[in-house]
Amino acid sequence: MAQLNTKIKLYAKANGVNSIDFLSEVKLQDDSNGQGAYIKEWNLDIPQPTSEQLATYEDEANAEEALNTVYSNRRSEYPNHNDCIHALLDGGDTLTDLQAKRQATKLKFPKT
Amino acid sequence: MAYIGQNLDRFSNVEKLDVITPATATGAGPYNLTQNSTAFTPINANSLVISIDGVIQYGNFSVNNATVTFDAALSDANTCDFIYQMGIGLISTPADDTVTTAKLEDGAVTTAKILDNNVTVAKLPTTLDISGNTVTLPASVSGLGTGITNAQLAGSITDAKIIGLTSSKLTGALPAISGTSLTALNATNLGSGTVPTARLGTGTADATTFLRGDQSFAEVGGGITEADQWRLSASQALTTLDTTTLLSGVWERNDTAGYSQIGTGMSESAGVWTFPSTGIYYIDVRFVFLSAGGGSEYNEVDIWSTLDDSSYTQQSSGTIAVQASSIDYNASTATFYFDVTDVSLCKLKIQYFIQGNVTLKGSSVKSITHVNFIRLGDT
Repeated sequence: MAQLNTKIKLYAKANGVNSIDFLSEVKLQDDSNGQGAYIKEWNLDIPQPTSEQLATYEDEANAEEALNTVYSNRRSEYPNHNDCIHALLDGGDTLTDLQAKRQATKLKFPKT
Repeated sequence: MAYIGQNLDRFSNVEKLDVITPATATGAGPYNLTQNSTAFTPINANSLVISIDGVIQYGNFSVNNATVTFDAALSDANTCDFIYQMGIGLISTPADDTVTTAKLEDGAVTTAKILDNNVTVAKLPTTLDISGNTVTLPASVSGLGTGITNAQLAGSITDAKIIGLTSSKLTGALPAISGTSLTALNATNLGSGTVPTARLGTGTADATTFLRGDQSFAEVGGGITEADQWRLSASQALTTLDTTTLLSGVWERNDTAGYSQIGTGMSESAGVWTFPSTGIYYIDVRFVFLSAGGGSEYNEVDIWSTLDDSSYTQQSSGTIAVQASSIDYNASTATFYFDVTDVSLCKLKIQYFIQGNVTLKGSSVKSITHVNFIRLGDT
């Protein structure tokens, strides 16, 4: 099941709001009581969505989160910033090897 | 022969009285005794010589003041011949030691006949009962010594009669007296001993309290009476993003050897922290985040409190980022001074907010992500 924040982002984007600050504009709360997260405070200009409206974004949100997982996995195995800078400065085989590692990571965590 | 030829009325101290006139109406008497028509009181009946009808009367009459009464009635036919009083001048001076007690009339020795300071103790009875008399002592009596015993003292000796009471008379167990009488007792007159704590002030006096200037016992301020540490018992994978999430059911009190809390300690139920007693508490929450791989730019630890066990307010937060790496750690801290005025209403929650998946590091053998509660003082 997709997370509430993902579905709200998609709902907001569909209503003309491309980014949300979840520390002020929309505040979500999870009381860790098994009921899951809920909207505690809604400060966007667009109407607060109903549960039914958010449910329509379930599939799209799952796909978004899967993609985010891919990106997260890739970030965890990509060469770090220092290695990248050295490769760019050194060029040659160092850069070629780094590019090969990045490509291997992408293949390990494909988007689809 | 002395006095021959002398009339009786010439005898020294022999008095001739006027004769009486016996009368049937008067009978035995009393008849007034006169001398030259003036009332005459004889010494006694025995000193009178009365002749009635030529017969000397003796022992058959009595006198009372200036009257005489006969034992038998007289009549008009009787005639009084004469009456003489035989004065003391007729008695010769007795020889020494010849006047016996019998010769003295009872009660005849008057006070004036006793020479001053001549009645000796031997002349007083062994038991002298003068209870019917009033004994008046002079203002100053010397020589009484110890002759007057306690038993002979009745009633009370008033304060005015006591001019000095030495300390030697106050030794031993003194009688119970009212403390209100000790009005002049001051601190310098207290020698040794212990004043009971109950007399020093109000409140509970024991090893944990001291006596304040307002004469009340109070606990020593400034001491730590509560200190407790809890920790995340195991690492938690945090995946609920962009959501303030209560951290619940994952805490344990530090139980590693060497740890010791002070006081009763905190209690936690369903993520709600309850304090053991009122007071001002210092709360120190330390979260250690580990990147889950993809990194998380915003990771926040929050302290929320309520004063009514219902409506919570965010009091403190600490934020930190963890980079995209499998070994990137970072720690965030939130602190708060909480004035706990009512343990049933003042509660606490610890929550977090993350933007990417992270691991909150915990352990059951050492404190990594943990929270410290220290009671600093009274509310």
